[in-house]
Amino acid sequence: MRPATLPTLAAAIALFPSNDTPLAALLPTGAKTATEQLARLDRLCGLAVVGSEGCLARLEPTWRDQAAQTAVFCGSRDGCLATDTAFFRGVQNGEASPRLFAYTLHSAPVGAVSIQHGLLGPGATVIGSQVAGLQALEEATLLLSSGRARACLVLSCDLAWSPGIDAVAALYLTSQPASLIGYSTWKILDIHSFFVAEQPDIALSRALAALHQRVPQSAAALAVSTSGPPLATLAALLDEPSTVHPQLNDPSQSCVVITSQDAQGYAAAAVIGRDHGVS
Amino acid sequence: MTAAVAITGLGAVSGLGLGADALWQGLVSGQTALRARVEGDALGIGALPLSLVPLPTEAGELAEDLSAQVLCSPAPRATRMSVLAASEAWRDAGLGSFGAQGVPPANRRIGVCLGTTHGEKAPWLAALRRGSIAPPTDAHGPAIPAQVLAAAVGAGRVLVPVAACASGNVALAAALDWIRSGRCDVVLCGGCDALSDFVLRGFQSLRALSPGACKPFDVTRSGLSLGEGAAFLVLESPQHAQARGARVRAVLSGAGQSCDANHMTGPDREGRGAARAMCAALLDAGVTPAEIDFVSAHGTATIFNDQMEGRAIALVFADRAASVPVHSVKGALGHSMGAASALEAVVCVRALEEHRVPATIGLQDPDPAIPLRLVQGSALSLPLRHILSTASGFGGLNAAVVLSSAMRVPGNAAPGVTQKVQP
Repeated sequence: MRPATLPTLAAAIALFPSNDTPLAALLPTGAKTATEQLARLDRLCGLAVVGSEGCLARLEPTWRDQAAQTAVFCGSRDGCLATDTAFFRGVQNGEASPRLFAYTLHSAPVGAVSIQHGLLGPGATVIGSQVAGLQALEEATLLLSSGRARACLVLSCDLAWSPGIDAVAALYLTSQPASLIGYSTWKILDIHSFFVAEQPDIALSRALAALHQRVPQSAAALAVSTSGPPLATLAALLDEPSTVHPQLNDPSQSCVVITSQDAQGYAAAAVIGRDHGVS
Repeated sequence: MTAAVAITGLGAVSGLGLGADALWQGLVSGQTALRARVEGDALGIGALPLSLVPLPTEAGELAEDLSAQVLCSPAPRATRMSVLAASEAWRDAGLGSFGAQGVPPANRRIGVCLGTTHGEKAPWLAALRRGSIAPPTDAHGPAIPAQVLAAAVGAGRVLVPVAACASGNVALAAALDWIRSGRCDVVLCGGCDALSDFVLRGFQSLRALSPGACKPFDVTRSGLSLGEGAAFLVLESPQHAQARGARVRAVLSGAGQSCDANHMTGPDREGRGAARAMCAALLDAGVTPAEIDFVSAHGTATIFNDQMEGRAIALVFADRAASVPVHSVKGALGHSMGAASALEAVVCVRALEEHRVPATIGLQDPDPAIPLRLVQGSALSLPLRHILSTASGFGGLNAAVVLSSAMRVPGNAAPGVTQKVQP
């Protein structure tokens, strides 16, 4: 069932830094976060803050008018397990760090981002699956539909476990028209997550078929399956002008379907459509 | 105001025993599960009072002399607790067998929503002890308990939300949205968390642990005591429950959440964040503060939390703040983190059914700086229609829910309820 009110994606950003990149280097010009503040956070929280800065920098300053009713939802497959590891090594060495312990909760990025930007709405992190970011996006959509928040910053962040690439995505959803607050012309048409104990591909195919039925017939859909963090892929797609999928720069390409599934049986599909001409 | 959702099943495991009834009977009879355990000595932090779940296969060891080694064993403790509590809730709701349901169709309208702070951490901690530095495999994932439950009930939707120690209420809020939006007909929702030396050492490093059993809202309170547990509720749309002839035990009327945006480990000293969550829950439920008959507080017994909650309740209830009954179960159960507010929701449902409020164990000398009507000494009997249950956690995350009498469901006569009222 589609939510009664379709939230607008006012801005989106995705960053894929190598995990030895200093996060301060990723802060946008005019960011509220100081380098010293980033240094006090663990890398997962720092990544979330950097992503949020990049996303919010793309909005009109008026977004702050609804900061008191802005939620923060985060999705992460492994959450803070890297920090947990560091904390536990301290425990084994008889030096448990109270500073690190504060970051051994998967919800720490939500707290860090809400503190940094003064966001007073609901907050939580969804964990445990490859599609956690899309699940967070779905929960944000439901929350906005319920009227319990007016806007939501949705994050997806995961760290590489060895020399590799970290990933963070940040999307700003609002129940207001996007033109008032951001630049994006995209709207969430539908999003659903699924859990199937076996044969997720079959279930996902059925689900996608159902989703496609609800997409306007005139819309050309660009379906993207992803094995990486799907919300990051989605954000990269919507971060206009899209360099990942140039087809999205063509206004006639009016819908995008992001799908993903993981080995545990989690799957999700999101249909994003142009803000104009769809309802 | 939006639609209330029926609660048709309850299940819990806690330090007071296995089952929702053991939890309720233990609380109303004034028992505490907090006992000095040798784990503290083994860890070099003293004989801390802890509330541990007497899991069946470990009952002998767990009763009194559990070593740190056993406490932190690789056994999937959180999963076992979750299965015990969830299967009880499922049976209580009359939903049939709790076991492998086979391949669910993609449009399966059953959901599992499990709030937790750490999920199933034991296998991963064991791997770390063995010196592993590998990334966690799927088998070490924090979502294992939820996946096991999903397979058992054939759920087509699973979510593991984390909002620190407010995770249980956040899971209830998400489940409420799933039912209201039509995404699910039935949701098995709740929370779980198991104790480990990871958690004990963490709270010790913050100097947040009380050397004795915790004393919520007491003037001599000196910190929290830790516990563990799991609790689940079965939520359904009233129409779905009615169609299958299910007994509606109570209703979840509304939920609200907020962030303090203040500090990573400390609450907003003025209680503004918690008050916003409570107000949002009341608004969502279509219930006014004047209609709330009882407040189930977070009540961790830390200096700052209890003070913050007193101020938050004053902000929400204004003139009624000193007269609405308030309690905390942490003095009996310890702080079971992600399970805490789910356990409290189970207690609230029983309170609505029995029209009784358990006393705040450990409270002897109420803090005069927190002028609330704290339930102490013995259980209080009073008519109950609406209960506000609130929780707060690290990162300044707050979540509150409003639970109401089953009589709020149209056409639900809730036979016997009025007869149980003891003025």
